[in-house]
Amino acid sequence: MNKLILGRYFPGNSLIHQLDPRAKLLAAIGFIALLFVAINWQSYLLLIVCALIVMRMSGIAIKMYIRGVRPLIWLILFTVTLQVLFTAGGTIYLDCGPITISKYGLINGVFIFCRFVLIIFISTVVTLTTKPIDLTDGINKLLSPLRFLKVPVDDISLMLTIALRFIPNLLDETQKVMDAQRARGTTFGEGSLVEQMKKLVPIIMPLFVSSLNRAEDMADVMEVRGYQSTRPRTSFRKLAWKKQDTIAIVIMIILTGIIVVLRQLGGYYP
Amino acid sequence: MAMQVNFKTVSADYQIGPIRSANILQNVNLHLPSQSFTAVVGHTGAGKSSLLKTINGLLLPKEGDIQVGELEIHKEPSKQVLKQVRKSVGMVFQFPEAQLFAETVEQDICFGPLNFGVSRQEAKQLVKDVLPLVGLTEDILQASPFALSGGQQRRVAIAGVLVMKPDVLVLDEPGAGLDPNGKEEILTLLQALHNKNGTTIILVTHDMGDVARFAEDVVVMGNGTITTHQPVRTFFEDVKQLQAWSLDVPEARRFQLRIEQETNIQLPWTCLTIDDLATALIEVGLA
Repeated sequence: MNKLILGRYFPGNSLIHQLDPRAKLLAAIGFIALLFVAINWQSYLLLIVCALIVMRMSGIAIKMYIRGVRPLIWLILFTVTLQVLFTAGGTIYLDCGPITISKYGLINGVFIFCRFVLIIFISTVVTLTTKPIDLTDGINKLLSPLRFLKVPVDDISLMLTIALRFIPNLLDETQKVMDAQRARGTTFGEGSLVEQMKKLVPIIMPLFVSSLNRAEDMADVMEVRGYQSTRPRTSFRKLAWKKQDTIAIVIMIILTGIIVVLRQLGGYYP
Repeated sequence: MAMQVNFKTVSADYQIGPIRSANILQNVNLHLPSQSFTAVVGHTGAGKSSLLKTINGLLLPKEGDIQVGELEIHKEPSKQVLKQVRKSVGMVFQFPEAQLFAETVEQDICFGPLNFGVSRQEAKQLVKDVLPLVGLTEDILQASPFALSGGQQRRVAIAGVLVMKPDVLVLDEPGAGLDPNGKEEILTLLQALHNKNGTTIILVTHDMGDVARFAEDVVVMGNGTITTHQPVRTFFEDVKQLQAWSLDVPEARRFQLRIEQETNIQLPWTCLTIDDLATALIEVGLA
């Protein structure tokens, strides 16, 4: 449970912490988009360096970010393996029927690996350095133009706020229920896959029950305190766009320019 | 067979991600004899719950070891030892009804025994045996645990622990959130269990009245260490010390002090319960 880094906030006072959540979100989305624009090693190198600089600036140990990748490593390696085995083109190193290891396949594999890891790194930077409530405020503001398309932006952001707000509670509760069931003799991480899945029932059921109960209580309390989803809400905390946020966005635009130029210059493969 | 619990220079902490909490338990030495009834008191964050968890191997000591009967829990205990420990130490968490999950009460109470390798048939018999202990009847067995009242859920959850017939029973505020009657019944049940089977009981509570009425010994914890470990009567004698630890004085004891102050007559012993006080008053001829 404690290994889950993604979605956690680490208090701090770094430059990254101080950025406006909107700027961080936009920059992160832009960066992830760039990962799909980049097609050659020069651009990947540049993006990796940028990501490392940002991670460094956040003041959080690189180890933490690597820990964020760990739960997903098998998924990443699986995808990379598929890429390596089923992409054809270039020099062929190994040929066994439909499975070939080719130069293009290997390069593609490396690129996809970088892409995955960088996506996780950058989104972890955002979540580690932004308070959940700022994050949802930011999302709310960024989505607000959609209001004209009758998208219930406020409802969505409220749902997000509540969901994020209760992650720590849910984790605590999970730990508690796990302890209680372990005290009753369950051992986790043993036995066949089916057995292990069966062992999850005594944990998930109580969590469902308590979450549903809490949701009901919460809805009642909100109603008692006069919440109505149809009314516009004012916000207590106002986001302030500062110079540093503009600078961050400008840097992102410059980076985008460089990546696009590299794409034109570098061709597809080195 | 009852068991003693022995802490030898135990230190422990929680590792949550990168944040290592300061020592939750620091150099704890504690001897809880077999068949004792010990209350653990102290302020929030004093390490009471952590102390309980170490007895069950849910929190492993960083240093030192804990002996539960013949078993020894140290830094890296084997799986067999842990399983044995959990079988002989029953643990009732705070708000234990949060652990209910099964479709029927019977299945839920059976969960523990089945995990410890008891056959289904035997487990069902064990369930039938445990029900009267917690004051439930057999007609409840096929009901869904979630359809029960809060008090009944609590009883089912406690039954789910008692069903394994633990030699040591560890409880974290078993009465919290119950009405006074429900709380009373649960504590009386513990006392009965203690008297009849000689179960070693370790109880965390905030209520000094309960400590005075049910416990034999008291452990005070503060900042992850044992402040004191005394028999309950000696413990409540020194009221000044209690106030220094900002612990409440039980009602009967407070009443006794008032009487002593008003009448200038010293009662022959420290009174822990109302009955106790009445006997003492008769003894000195005040009642």
